[in-house]
Parts: sequence; structure tokens; C-alpha cells
Amino acid sequence: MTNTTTSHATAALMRARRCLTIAVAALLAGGAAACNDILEVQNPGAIQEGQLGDPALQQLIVNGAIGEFQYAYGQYAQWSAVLSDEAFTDHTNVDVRQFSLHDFTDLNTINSGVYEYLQRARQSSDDAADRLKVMLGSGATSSLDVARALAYGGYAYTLLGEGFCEAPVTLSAPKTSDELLQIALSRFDEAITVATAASTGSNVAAAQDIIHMSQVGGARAALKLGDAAKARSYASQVPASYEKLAYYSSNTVRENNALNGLTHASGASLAMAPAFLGLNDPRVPQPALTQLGLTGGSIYTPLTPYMYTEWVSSGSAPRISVESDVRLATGLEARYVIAELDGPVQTTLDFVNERRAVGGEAPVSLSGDQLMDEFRAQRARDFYLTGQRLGDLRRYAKAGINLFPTGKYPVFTDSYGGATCFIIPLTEKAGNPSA
Amino acid sequence: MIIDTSHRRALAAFVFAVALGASARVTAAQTGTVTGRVTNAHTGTPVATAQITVTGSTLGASVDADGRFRLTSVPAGTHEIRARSLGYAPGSVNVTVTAGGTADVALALEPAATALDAVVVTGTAGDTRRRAIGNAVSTVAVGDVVDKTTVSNVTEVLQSKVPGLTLVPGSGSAGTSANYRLRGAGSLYAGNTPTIYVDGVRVTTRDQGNFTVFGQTTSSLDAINPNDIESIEVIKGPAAATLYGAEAASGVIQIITKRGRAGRTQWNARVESGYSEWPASMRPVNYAVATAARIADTANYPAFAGHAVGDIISHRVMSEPNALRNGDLSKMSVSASGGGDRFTFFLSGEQDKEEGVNLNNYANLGSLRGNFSFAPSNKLSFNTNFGYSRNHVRLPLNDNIAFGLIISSYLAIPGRKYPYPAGLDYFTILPEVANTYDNQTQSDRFILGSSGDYRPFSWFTNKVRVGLDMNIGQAELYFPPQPAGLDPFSARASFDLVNTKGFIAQGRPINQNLTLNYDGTITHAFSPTFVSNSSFGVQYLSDGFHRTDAFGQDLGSTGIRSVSSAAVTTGREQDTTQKSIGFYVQEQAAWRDRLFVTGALRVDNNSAFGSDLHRVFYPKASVSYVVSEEPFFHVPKVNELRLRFAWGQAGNAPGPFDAIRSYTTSVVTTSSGTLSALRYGSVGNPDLKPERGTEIELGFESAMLDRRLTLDATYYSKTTRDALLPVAVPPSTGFAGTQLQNLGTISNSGLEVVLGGTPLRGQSLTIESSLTLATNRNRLVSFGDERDPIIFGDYAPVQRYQEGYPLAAFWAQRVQYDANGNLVKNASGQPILDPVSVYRGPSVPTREMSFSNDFIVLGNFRVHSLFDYKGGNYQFNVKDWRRDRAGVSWQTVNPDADPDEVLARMFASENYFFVQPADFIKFRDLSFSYDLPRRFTGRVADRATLMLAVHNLKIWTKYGGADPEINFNGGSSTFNRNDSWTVPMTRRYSLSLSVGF
Repeated sequence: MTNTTTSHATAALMRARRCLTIAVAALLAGGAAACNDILEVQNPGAIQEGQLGDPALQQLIVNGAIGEFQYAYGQYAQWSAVLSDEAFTDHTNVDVRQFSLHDFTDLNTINSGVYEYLQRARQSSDDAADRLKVMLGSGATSSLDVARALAYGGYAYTLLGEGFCEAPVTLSAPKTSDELLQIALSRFDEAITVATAASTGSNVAAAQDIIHMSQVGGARAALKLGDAAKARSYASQVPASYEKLAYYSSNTVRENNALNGLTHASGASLAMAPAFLGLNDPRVPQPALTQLGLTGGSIYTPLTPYMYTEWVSSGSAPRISVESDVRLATGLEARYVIAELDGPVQTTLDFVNERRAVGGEAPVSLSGDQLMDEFRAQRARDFYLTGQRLGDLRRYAKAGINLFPTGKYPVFTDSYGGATCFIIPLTEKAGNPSA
Repeated sequence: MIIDTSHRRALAAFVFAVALGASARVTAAQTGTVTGRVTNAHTGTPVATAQITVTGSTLGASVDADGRFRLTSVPAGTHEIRARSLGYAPGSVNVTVTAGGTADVALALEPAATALDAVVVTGTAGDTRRRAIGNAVSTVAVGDVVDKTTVSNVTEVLQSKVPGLTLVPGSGSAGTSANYRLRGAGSLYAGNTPTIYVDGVRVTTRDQGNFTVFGQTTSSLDAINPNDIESIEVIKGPAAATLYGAEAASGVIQIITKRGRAGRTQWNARVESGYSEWPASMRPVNYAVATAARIADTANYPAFAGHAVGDIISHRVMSEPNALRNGDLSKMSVSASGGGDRFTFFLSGEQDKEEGVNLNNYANLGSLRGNFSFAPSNKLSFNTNFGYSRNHVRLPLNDNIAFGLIISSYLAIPGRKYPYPAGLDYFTILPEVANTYDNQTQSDRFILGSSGDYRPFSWFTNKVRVGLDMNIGQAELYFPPQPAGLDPFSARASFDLVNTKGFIAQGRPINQNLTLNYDGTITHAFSPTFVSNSSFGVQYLSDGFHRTDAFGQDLGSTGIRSVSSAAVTTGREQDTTQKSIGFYVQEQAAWRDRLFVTGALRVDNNSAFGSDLHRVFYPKASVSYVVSEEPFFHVPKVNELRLRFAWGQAGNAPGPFDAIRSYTTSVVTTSSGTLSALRYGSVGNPDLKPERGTEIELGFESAMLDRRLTLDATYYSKTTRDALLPVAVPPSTGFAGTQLQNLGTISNSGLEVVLGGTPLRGQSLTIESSLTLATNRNRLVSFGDERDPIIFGDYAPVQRYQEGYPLAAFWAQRVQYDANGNLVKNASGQPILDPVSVYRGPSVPTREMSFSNDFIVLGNFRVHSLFDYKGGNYQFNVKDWRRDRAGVSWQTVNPDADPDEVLARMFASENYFFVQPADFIKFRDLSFSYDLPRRFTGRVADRATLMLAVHNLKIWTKYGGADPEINFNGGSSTFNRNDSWTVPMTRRYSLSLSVGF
């Protein structure tokens, strides 16, 4: 009896083990893979690639292009100032220091940051225009949103062309500054065409705004390309009072005016460069006193300049606010383009004296190269810290007028290096075989 | 509590499984009682930590302080009563129980140096005795640690106790966390923090959700009260952690809390008081030369007035009364343990208050715990553990930020008065301003675990566990409006905002970890000498994190401290979830209870895997051989010897959404106002899979010289393949940052040795000593693609990932010298930087050693000491680097200094002088404890112990700074290392009284 019981128990045990073995093997083979349901997770803060064809996202997509550009533009305005003769920094960070010395490599994070922001702005605009064309079909040819995306894309290409020695486009081989500016022109042209087609009914004002913005951008790009006829053609169509702003706010850090970042009361490290000190010009306001930079140097921190909406024509100039908008495209710029193309003639002298008056200076009577020198000085003051200067200096240098700073750096013992443009960073080269 | 749909499905499946298993009828039987006492076989003293079980049933009990126990409802018949305790060989006795009768037994346990029969609960299945496990397991008896020293948190409990566990403390600030690393860094990206369990429930290792202070972070582990912990088990790598699957390649730490003990309710209470200090000797003196210009400039250099040109002005940093303090410490705890044969409980409560040396730094902890065990039948038992804690931390602004008090003082020219909010001897901010910085985090932590053990047949055991770890935080950062229009802390530093009008940020981080677990084991004895254990199980884990932040600017008044009252309000939200499921099978064969061969396989799926990957397999195999129990074993003086070998794999999963390409939204300001806007998010990688760690370890455990000497040694070699590496995404695609790819190979190898001994054992004096040694050789074997070294660093590019070198090793650049050793200078008379960087060494210790001694005099007076050595690594001494550059160090001010060396030291890009060897020896703990005689405690208490303890008493090091052990980024930093503006480990004194009654 005992033996029988034992054998039954053993048999039961073996059966149980076999069943369990089969069950466990089945679980192992398919269980993990079959559990996708209970492994499902949601990311409520993300939009998936496949959702971007939804027409309901049209405005979101275009706003994305604008937002990326405004952010990139603020960063470019700040760091192109440092790479030109507008400003320098007194900062402890090695990358900031090397960039400020105009002596940096493709590892430099300041350089790569500006590159990244501008490329993202460019790609956002290109993607937005492409997505909307698919989304809207034939309606895309008269869509304000398409025109808007193209116009901001044109500006992104313009800044890339003005500021970078060369840059690829969506994993392409590097394109020269002129090639980038040519693409910018094509974007502006297409934006004007689409906006013109859309300029009906209640869209007229908005369409005209895009058209003028593109005309100013087109004139800017054409001027850098040396295409005088095209530049004049664009510029002459822009009303003198036209203004297109890049908007900033205190909503988020990303929405702040970037120039506020290094110029606030405590811990300022951005300084007015010697070329812009002592001008006594309200367009380029200079603080009465120096303040300590981050390495202890005495620096004059830039105050709100002329092209910023919080600029004041008299009295104590305010510090640059996080909310200060910047005039991105203006009738004034179009007038500068025409005057430059006109050369040292009476109308240019009149224009220069008009600008000197804004700066509180007496009229001059200059001609020839002296007049054009003064013209360039006035342009520099009017567009101080707006991202115009680096492109101008590169353009002037091509013409044999080198205004890039040289010699000893204002606050360190080091001397300026020879960099005159942003470069393709290692982050691009590492992943882009064509770069 | 919100449990999402998939959780409910998983829970339902588990409940079903439990119901199936628990459906067996609980039989009633005639029963009797067993009473007894457990003692030390050598000394006859009670073994107060013994656990009693009735073999073949779930009946069990713990003993009281006198070693006594009582088991009721024991079925009539003959039973084996077993007693186990850490540090003793198990003992057993057969007893015959009659219905309604009481049998009394005596169990004398032999002290067992190698504890071969101690049960290991971490990473094991089947036979869980240490003798059956082929890998090394470190067990820390926390009660011993707490009784001998002063500890503030779990990190301090583990400090220098576990060979192979490297703890890089963040700072001496109260409430800050350390970085954990087991057997070196096996991952570049996926993290090296071990997975942590509390009583089988996986818990979060995130911080408590504090707003950034630019360096130090908090740790949710610190919300666990060390007084509640019975022991901590550490398994160190893939060879041991295979059964934990795709999230365990960095090792597993299991915290086991105390359980109730049957019998008379035992009360324990403890009070502790003390303080922490940052000794003046650990702060430098700044120097300046009195020049004519400085003497004349009384407004900016007031302290120079009256001095002669050439005088040296000096100032010991942070020596003002309002700069630092002695941080008070007070702790109170009480616990009760008791129960009967079928039910036991452990209840505890604690209130800790610890101030940091900064006046705006503290860490307070209040905790409650209830652990309950219930065994309704001999086949079925339940355990429920509930822990609650409230952790309240306020952190100072230090580390990598210009407005911290430390940098403000360390870089100030002595005697110079800087403009407000800086001032005399403070470069950026005065103490009275810095001390108002208010960054607080309060978190409520719940850890709930419930398990059921069901043994329907003697050969079949089942265990089901359900657990939830929930951490609900409240973080607040507040800057009052500044009437003077200054923003002294620069809210910009936190949020890039100017805070002159006041700023408040409030965060609500919520972390939810769910654990569902089933383990089953079938035991079959093929013969009396050959036993098989077949185990299988399933584990479901979910880790959810949600955070909402609200920000308010322009508060209008210092009386306003509410986001809703601010003029400008913004918010942000973060939501991540990661889920995994794993199944395993294991077969363990035992021969004569001395040779054990184990093979196992685990398969995992994880929500973080790429969409093209559905499962990964992790195998393991191990052998354990207690060779000393073989009849042929006759090695003189060797009492016990176990050989072990283990090989296994485990994974390291990527982050929750790393695999998914996605976009997000932000806002854009236009002429029409603020609008939502699309942004590029993550580029994703559909092929993403977990890193795979493969480890082989072999070693032995031995006891010699009549068990007075023990020697354990383990060699390990661990290789991580498919290591996740960030590959730069070309910005011309519109996406930026990096894409994770499985590319790299990383290796770690080393030796771990534990030598324990009792050099002297006598009535009047006993000496117990322990020496641990651990080495680690870490190498980045290959990036897996063609790429240059990755160079990084927080203050200078001094760290690298470079093939053939340790991860994040230090490199340094020096200025150029000619063949004669003379400084090379440029036309301006300045040094020239040598473009070639020089390899210095690893950034984490490669050699660690601890040496502890206990002198027990007359049985009731104990002197405990612990010395701790770490070395083989380097540290970037940012404090001295910056002081030299600022020209305030003696090396740069000393009139007799070599001018060329001064030039080199002050040269900005030179960092060779400052990447320094970080070897040190610390006198980590010294304590004197005295068990008060019973004639003093009388009838009030069974036991009373008075202890005076000092922590971090002394450091010996050639490192230039005060403490090479700290790191500016604390526990959050995986690889970045530097000693910047961080409080060194403080010295702590405490006096405590523990009473048992």
C-alpha cells in the first residue's frame, strides 16, 4: 500500500513537472513577445511623425517654423556680434572664451549652438512648406501659411549665408555662402509669388506684410551676392515705414530676447567692443559706469539699442529686456540698400545726415570714400546687435575693407585670432558623410 | 492612486494566479506547542536574532532578546525545529508534539564564519541558501552598523562595507546624494546605478524632485530609515542578476526591513544628538599684496588702509559668523516587535533633524513603518510591509554657479569690498544674501509590499508579491522681490529669468513604481543525495514619473508666496513611463548538499525597446562546491571552504522614449500673441535594444584557524556589449542632439577580498577585525564606430571617453617648457599652451580598502573604528585652479614664488597642476559604546547602550584641496567629476542612547 501511494505521488509529481515545463516553455517562447498590450506606454507630450499630415496641425507647423527662426535669430544676433566688432565677452567658460577670441575649432559649443539653431530654423521652414504643400494640394499656391514658411526659411538661409563660411542643407555637401544666399533668394521669390496669389479679401494686409518682409530679405541677400539690380528691385518696393519684428517675451526662456542673457545686472559678461564705445549716440547707448565681468574685468554692458522696440531716444537707456522685440526687416534697411547701391552721391549724403541726426550728430559734408565710410558707420549704429554686422564685415572684407578686430583682446592677455565666420561643427561632420 | 489600464490587466492576471494557487483547503489538525531557547554554542549567550522554522511547514517565529521562542498550533507528530541566524551555522532538533501538549527544546548554534546556510533572497530561486549560490553576495547587517556608528542615511550604511560598491558622495551638505557604482561603470549612457528593491519591491532611484542648485541633488533612497532595515544584500553584476533581466546589468541592491518577532512585545528606543562641522583647517586662506593703488583706494580696498606697500593681507574663507555654522543633529526613534505563532508585527517611528553647515541647509526625515506577517495555516503565509516617510530638504546654492557662497568667498581678494550684493571678502554674494536662498523639497514616500507564500505540497512552493513604491514630492524655489532692483541669486541661473520682482517655482513630481512578481519552485529528490529544484517565475515592472511645474514672476510683495498671485505665470509638464515583463526558468541540481549546479534563462520585453525588437534572452550558469564537507578534504587549519563559479548575462534598458521619433510643442510669440508651435523632439531609433552585460566570476569563501579567520575572494570580469552610445545627429536634418545606437564595448575586471578575524577572544577583551579590498580595471574597449575621443568637462575639457582608457578618465594640458625646463613664453610674455593633452588617470577609485576594528572590553564596552582608503584615481581641483587664476592663493601671491610658475598657474587654459591624484585615507568612524549595567537600568529596560561617535574624523591625502572624495554634481552625475564649489564631507559628532525593554 505504501509503495503504491509513493508511486502515485511520484507519478503525480512527474506529471505536474511536465505540465509546468510545457507551460513555462510556452511562456518563454511567446510570453514576452505577446505582452505588448501591457507594455504599452503613452507620451502625452509628444507628436508622432505620422500625425503631422493632419490638416488640423497646419497652424502649429507654421508657428513652429516662426518660433525656430526667432529663437535662432536671437542667438545669431548675440554671437555674430561677438564674432564681429560689435561686442566681446568677459566669461570664464572656455568655449565662450575661445569663440570670443575668434580662435575656435569645430568642437566649440557656441559655434555649434548657433549652427544647430539656424539649421533647425531652416529645416523647420522647409519641412513646413513641404508638409503644407502636400496637405493643401493646389491650395498651397495661394496659402498665406505656405508663404510665411517660405519667407522665414529665406531668412534662415540668409543668416546661414551671411554668417557661415559654408554649410550643408539636409545632409548635403557644404554649400558656399553665395549658394546659400541663392537659395534664400529662391525662397523669397516663391514667398512673394504665393503671398501675392493669396492677397485677396481679408488676407491683403497679411499678404503684403509677407511680401515686404520677403522683399527686404531678398534685397539683403542680393546685396550680399553682389546682384545690385535684384537688390535694388526688391528694396525699391518696400515702404519706408515698413517694420517686421522678431518677437520675444518672458513666457519661457526660449522666448526671451537672447541678448538679455549675458547683459543683465548681475553676472553680465557681454561687453560693448571698443569700436562702439564713446560714440555718444543714443542708437548705441553706453552705460555711464563699467561693471565687473565674470573674470573680473571692467566692461560696458550694451543697453537697449536702436532696433529694439524698447529703445528710448533720450534719457537713461534701459538694459536689454527679455521682452524686447527686434526689428528684423525694415523700410530703413531697404533705404540703406538703395543708398549703398547709389554710392557716394548727394542722396546718399542726405541719407547719412538724416541718420546722423537720429544719433544727435551734426550734418557732415563728405564725398567719395569718406562718405561711404560714414555711411558704413551709420549703418553699424542703426543695426547694432541685430545680426547685420557680421555679414557686413565679411562683405566689406571682400571689398578690401577689413573691420574685424585684431590685436590684443580687450580684457584677457590673449590676442584675437583670425576667424571671420561660423564653421561647420563636428556634430554635423560626424554624422554627415558629405560634410 | 491612479493605476492605468495595462496595470489593471496585469494585476487581474496576478490575482487570478494567486487565486488558483491559494485554492487549496486549509486543513485543521490537532496541535500542540513548542517552546525553546537559542544560544551561542560557545558562550551560552542568547542569540537574539534567530529565526525559528518548522521544517516542511510555514510555521515559524523569531526569538526574543533572551533567545526564547514559542510556537503554537504545531500539528501533533514529530517535527524538525530549525534555528537560523546571521553569523551562525543553522541548528536543528527533532521534537515530538502531542495534541494539546508543550514540548521544550534547546538549540545551541555554532558561530559560522562563512554563514553557508544563511538564506539569500536577492537574485535567487530554488534553494536560496548561500551554499547553493554560485555568485558572491554581500550582506550588510544594518543593525550592527547602526549600533556601532552614527549614520544619516542608507548611503552611509553602505559606505566602505561592500567590496566592489563604489560610493562617490556628492558633498557634505545635508540631504545630498551619492553616486553608486557596482564593479565599475558598465554603461556610458544607460546609467550605472544599481536597481534597488525594498522587500522585493522595486523602488525608484530618482532624486526627490528638487529644483536645481547647479550641482548637488537629493536621493529618494534617503527617505528610507536605516533603523528600519534588517540587512542589505548586494549582488554586483550580470552573473548574479540574470533573474532580474533587462534592468539589472549594473547590479541589484535589496533592502530587507525588520520583521516582527513572536513573543513578548519588545520595545526599542533611541535618541541621538550631535552636530556637523566644516573645520577651519579644511578651508583655505586667501592672500593679496598691498600695493600703493590698493592702499589708496579705501573705497574698494578698505582692509588695506594703514598697511605698507608689500604687506600681505590674508583672510580665511568663510570665516564670518554668518557664513557657516555647526549643524545640529537630533534623532529619535522607537520601535515595537512582537506577535504570536501565526501573527507577528514590527512597528516603528522616527524623527530625524539634521542641519547642514550652510545656514540654509537642512534635511529632516519622519518615518513610520508597519511590517506584518500572518500564517493562517502551515501551508500559507502572508507578509505585508508598509513604509511611509516624509523627507524635507532645503539645499543651498553652491556647486557650479557663480552666486554660491563658496565661490564667492574662495575667489575674493582679501580686503577688497565688492559691490552689493557682494561685499568685503565676498566676490559675488554676501552670506546674509546667500542665506536667504530658499530651495525646498518635501516628499511623501509610500512603499507598500505584500507577498503570499503558498506550499500546497511539500515539493511545490509558490510566492506571489505585489508592491508599490510611490513618491509624491513638492518642490519650491522662491526669490523674494528685490527692492534695490538687484537679482543677487540670479534667478536666471535657475530659470534664466531676472528676479528683481520676485519669482516662485513650484513642482509636483510623482513617481510610481509597480512590482508584480510570481516565483514557483518544484523540488524533487531523485535520491537521498541528488535533489533537483526547478524554478520559474514572471516579473512585471512599471516605472511611471509625472511632474508638473508652475512658475510665477513679479510677486509684487515679499508677503506673496503663491504662483497664482504672480503677474506672469507659466507651467511645464513631464510624463514618462517604462514597463517591462520578464519570465524565467531555472534548474538547480544539488549533490549531497555540497555541490550545486544551476542553469537559468530569462526572457524580457520592455516598452523602451525599439519597435523592431520583441524579446531578449539572458542565460546564466553557476556552480557552488562546499569542498570542505567532502570526506577527502583535509587541509590543515582550514575549517570551511566553498568554491564558486558563475557566468551570466543581464541587460541595461534604454530610457523610456529613446526609441521613438517624436515632435513636441512649445510657444511662439507673434503679432497675434502667444501661440503654440511645433518643435523637433527626439530623432529616435527603432532598432534600439538594451545593453548586454556578460560577467564571469569565480571565488571562494573559507574559514580557518578554528573559524577565527575568514577569507573570501572573488575575481570578476564583466563585458558590456551593445553599449548605448550617443551618435551626433547632424543638425542639418533639423533634429539635434544625439541618437542612441548600440555600438560600444566596455570592460571591467577586478578582485574583491574580505578578510575577517578575531585575533583575540577572551572574557576581558575581544578584538574583531575586518579588512576589505576591491580593485577595478575599467576600459572603454571600443566605440564600435570610427570616432575621435569624446572630450568633456564642466570647467575645462579635462575628461575623455577614449578607446583603451577608463571611461571619463582625466587628461590635462600644461604650458610649454623648453628642453631645459624653462617656461616658453610668447611675445607678450605669456605662457604657451601645449596642444597635446597628457593622460592623468581614472576619475573614480580603482583601489578601495577598508579596515575596521572592534575592541570589546569586559563584554560591555566597545571601541569601534573604521579606516577607509580609496585611490588610483584623479580629481580636478577646480577650487585651487580658480584661486590660482584669481591670484589669491599663496602659490601666486608668495613674494618668493618662482615667477614662471606663477605665470603658469595663472594661465587660464593650464590645468595640469590641478588634475591631481585623489588617493586618501579617511578615519571614517570612531565610536565608544557602553552597555549600561542592569543595576542601573533596573526594571525599566532590558538593555541600555550609550554611544559617542565621530564620523569623518580625519583625512590623510596628498591632494591639494580639502577633500578629493566630493563631486560637484553629486549623485546625479554619472561621469563628470570635479571638486568645485561644494561643501566637503563634514565631521560629525553624536551622542546616542539606545534602550530595549
